[in-house]
Amino acid sequence: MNHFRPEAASGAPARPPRFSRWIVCRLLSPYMELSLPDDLEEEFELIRQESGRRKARLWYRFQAARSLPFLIKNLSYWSLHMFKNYLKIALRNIKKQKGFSFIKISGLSMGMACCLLIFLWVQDEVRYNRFHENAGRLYRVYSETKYASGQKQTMSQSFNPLARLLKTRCPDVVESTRFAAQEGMKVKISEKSFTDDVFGFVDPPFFSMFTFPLIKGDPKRVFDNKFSAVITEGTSRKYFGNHDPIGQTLNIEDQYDLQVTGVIKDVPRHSSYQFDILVPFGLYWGPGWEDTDEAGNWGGNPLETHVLLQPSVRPETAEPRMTEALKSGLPLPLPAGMEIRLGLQPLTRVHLYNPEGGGLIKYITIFSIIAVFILVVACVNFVNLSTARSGRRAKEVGLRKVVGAYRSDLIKQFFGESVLIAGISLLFSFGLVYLLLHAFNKLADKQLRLEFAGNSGLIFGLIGIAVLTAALSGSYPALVLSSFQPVKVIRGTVKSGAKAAAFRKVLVVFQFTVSVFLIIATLVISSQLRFMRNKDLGFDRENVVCVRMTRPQMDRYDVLKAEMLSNPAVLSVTRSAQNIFYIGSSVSDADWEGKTSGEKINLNFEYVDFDYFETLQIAMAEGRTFSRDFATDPAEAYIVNETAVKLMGIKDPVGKRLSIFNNPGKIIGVVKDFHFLPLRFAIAPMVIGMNPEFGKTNLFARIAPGRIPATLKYLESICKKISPDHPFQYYLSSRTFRYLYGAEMRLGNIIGVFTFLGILISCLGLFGLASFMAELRTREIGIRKVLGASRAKILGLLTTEFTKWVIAANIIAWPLAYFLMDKWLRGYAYRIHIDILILAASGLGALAMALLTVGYQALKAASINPAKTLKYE
Amino acid sequence: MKLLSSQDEVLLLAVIALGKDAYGVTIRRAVSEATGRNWSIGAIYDPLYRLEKRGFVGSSLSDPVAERGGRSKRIFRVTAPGIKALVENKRVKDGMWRAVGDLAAAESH
Repeated sequence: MNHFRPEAASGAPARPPRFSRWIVCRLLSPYMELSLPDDLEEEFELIRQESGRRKARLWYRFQAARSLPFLIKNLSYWSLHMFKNYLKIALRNIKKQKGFSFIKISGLSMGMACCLLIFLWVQDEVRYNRFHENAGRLYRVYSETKYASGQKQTMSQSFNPLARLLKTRCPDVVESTRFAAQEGMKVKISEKSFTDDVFGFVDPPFFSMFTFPLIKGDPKRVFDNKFSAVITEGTSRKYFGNHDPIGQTLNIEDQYDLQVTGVIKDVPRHSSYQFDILVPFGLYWGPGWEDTDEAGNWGGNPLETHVLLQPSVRPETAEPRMTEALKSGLPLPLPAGMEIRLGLQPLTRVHLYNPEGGGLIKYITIFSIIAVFILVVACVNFVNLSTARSGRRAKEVGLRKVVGAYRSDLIKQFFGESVLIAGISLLFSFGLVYLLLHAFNKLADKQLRLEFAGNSGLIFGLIGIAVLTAALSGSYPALVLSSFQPVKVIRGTVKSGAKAAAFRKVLVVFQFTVSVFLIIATLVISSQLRFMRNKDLGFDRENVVCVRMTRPQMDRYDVLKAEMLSNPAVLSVTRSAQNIFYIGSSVSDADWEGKTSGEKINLNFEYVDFDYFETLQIAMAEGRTFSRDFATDPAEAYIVNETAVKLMGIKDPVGKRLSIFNNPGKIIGVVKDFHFLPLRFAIAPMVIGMNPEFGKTNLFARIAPGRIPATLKYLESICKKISPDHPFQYYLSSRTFRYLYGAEMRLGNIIGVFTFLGILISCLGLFGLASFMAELRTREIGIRKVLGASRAKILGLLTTEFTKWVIAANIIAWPLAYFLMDKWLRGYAYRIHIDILILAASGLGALAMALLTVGYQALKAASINPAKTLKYE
Repeated sequence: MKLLSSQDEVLLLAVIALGKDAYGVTIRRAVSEATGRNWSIGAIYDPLYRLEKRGFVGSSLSDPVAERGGRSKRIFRVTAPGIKALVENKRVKDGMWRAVGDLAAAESH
């Protein structure tokens, strides 16, 4: 007895290898020959008897493997065959149901176009600052200050001595540089002069830290001389044509000369820092000012500090060490109760995130979510129209099943159809994006382009959008359509399922929820914008022109003012250090009569000239304004606002002592609170002084009502007399408004467009659904009419259901929109309240739109002569 | 008319030679023996399937056979058009062979 071959001994029939047998039986024989497995088995048995079990199994395996190429060929042949059939049927269906196909494809195209646009936009925004080779190690330093009052301030503006301090005292920092930009400086080259180039003030390590490669010049030596400049290629062409710029002289502001020592490549668009000319940072303080960054000037400055960290150092570990370095380097200890912390923001996040939270990322997120919602709304159309019309395809499904299609085949087929439609829509959306890109660029203030070259992400994005669309829109109809039972279909007892009908309702409600929500959002944003536009700011902004003065104009301000006033249309002229729409500077070391020790208040401060309150028509609550009758006013007069009085707790403030920056003075008046910050912010306590030493670049001219356009020319001619080479820079309130609230305006515009698309797509879907419902009930309507129903009755009959859906959508959308928009509004200290009227208007608007859409179909159905619909019986 | 491929020709001849016993196993064995190379089952069924479509081969199921576990064999036979095609094929080839003379004799010289 052989123990090793028990099956031979027991005489039980040996089996061919299981896996190979499975291949032969399941995969091969259906395509080749049903008797094939049996033939093979017979031969297997023969071989086993002749040469043993092992050889037979080997042979069997070999046979199965050798037949596989045939299987592959045949499979692809069949699937190709079926694919051709599916494609044919799908195209026929698209053609046969032109209206429905139009609704599906146009909706999906619009939805995909939204997503594609937003995708392009997001892709563009996240690309900022990634081109630097050291991008992963470059950080912008920001500071978080906590005052004794509990007030917190996060600033990306930095302190002048910080860059050098960090490099010398913090071993984590390899290199550091300051950065500041300034525009409007005059550059003169022999006879030509330019004022539209942006100056970047940097320290020498800038060139090794950032990737702005030098074409000409040695990066280590370009700033050896303080009076040198590195210009971009474009600037070089503009200034010198094809001549070699190295060694050429640039005259700045008629004050000093710079020598060109290097040329860098043009700054990429995706850089947060844009400049045309780089100069040593010391020049930022003016040509004569020694760059004494060790010593002093620890005040907040409009400059940024950037550091390059050691490769292995994480920012979290470097931050506390940098804070320590800062504290040890400060000339004076911090005031009691004040805390300061340094933070690092990766350069790659600078564009999207503000260190204090928020930033562009907020808008990117909002728009991305809305774009996806629009696409989903479009997919709903596809789902609803496909399942609604499923009855029409029941026979096809039944027949295919009878002939031998598995359900999986049908799912594949219907899913394939949605992929086809998604593909067609993708092509159309491409065309749409191509057409709309220009308008979108204007709306979003971007320069996006639809280009595949060098943008592999776009291809993935497209595939992603198409797959998402096909999956969202195709999966449910594929399941519903493939579920028909052939017996029922052929008997004619099939009904489009109640489940699918209920699901359709849910989806329509969802669509209108999105639409109503978007309408409410648009209305709330535009109301808030209107509110901010019309809000009484406490000063007259309509009849005032703000002119930005050049250095020579500032020096000859008295002449300028006298000449302006000689025009009868100019009623009054004054000047100030900051633009009244945004007075952001603040001081924390104020001291006043009656102050309890240790009390700290952060006061916003502003320095102005005579006639400030008169020109801007700011009302006083108490006391007087600055006056030429008091010789001491320029040196020691202060005016505070009502909020400051309240916070400082002074009774009878006029005449009380007050000092800021250790300049002692007296309060001569209290000004009524006015809005000197965007309406996001509450009115802060404020002190206004004159400080004649302080540079005041903003000139305000009050013009007689209605005469601004005519007077602007006159103002320009006077300004040009002093600075003929500088452009005349002026701001009207409308322009300032755009500048201050640009982000909100863009948000409003883009959401407005989204809203329009959302409603359009929803209504298209509703239109299709209504036509289907009307068609379904043609005979019912006919019978009702014969029995005496009026047209109005039938209209009501057909529209009630849709009305119910839209009302349900409103019920969902109202609290949702109220909650989210209220959250948005909370970002504004001065805001509207979401009125029930806004909600009601949105709801009624959506309802009206839905009824108009449905009403057309209903009217058509109600107007048909019943004889026509009933005659074939 | 379209000529038969030599594969088709060999298969048809094998089916005729096997007579009533022509089914997958025997055909494969006969063809493999005659040509001296091991044909795969796929290489048998695929051309047979195509020949059947052209009407040169017909097939029927035999009675259940005990040694196949009570299952039947698919017996192939060559149809009249098949025979005609074979004969025509042979006529064409013979004619051409005559035109080139005795190749085997020429090669031995």
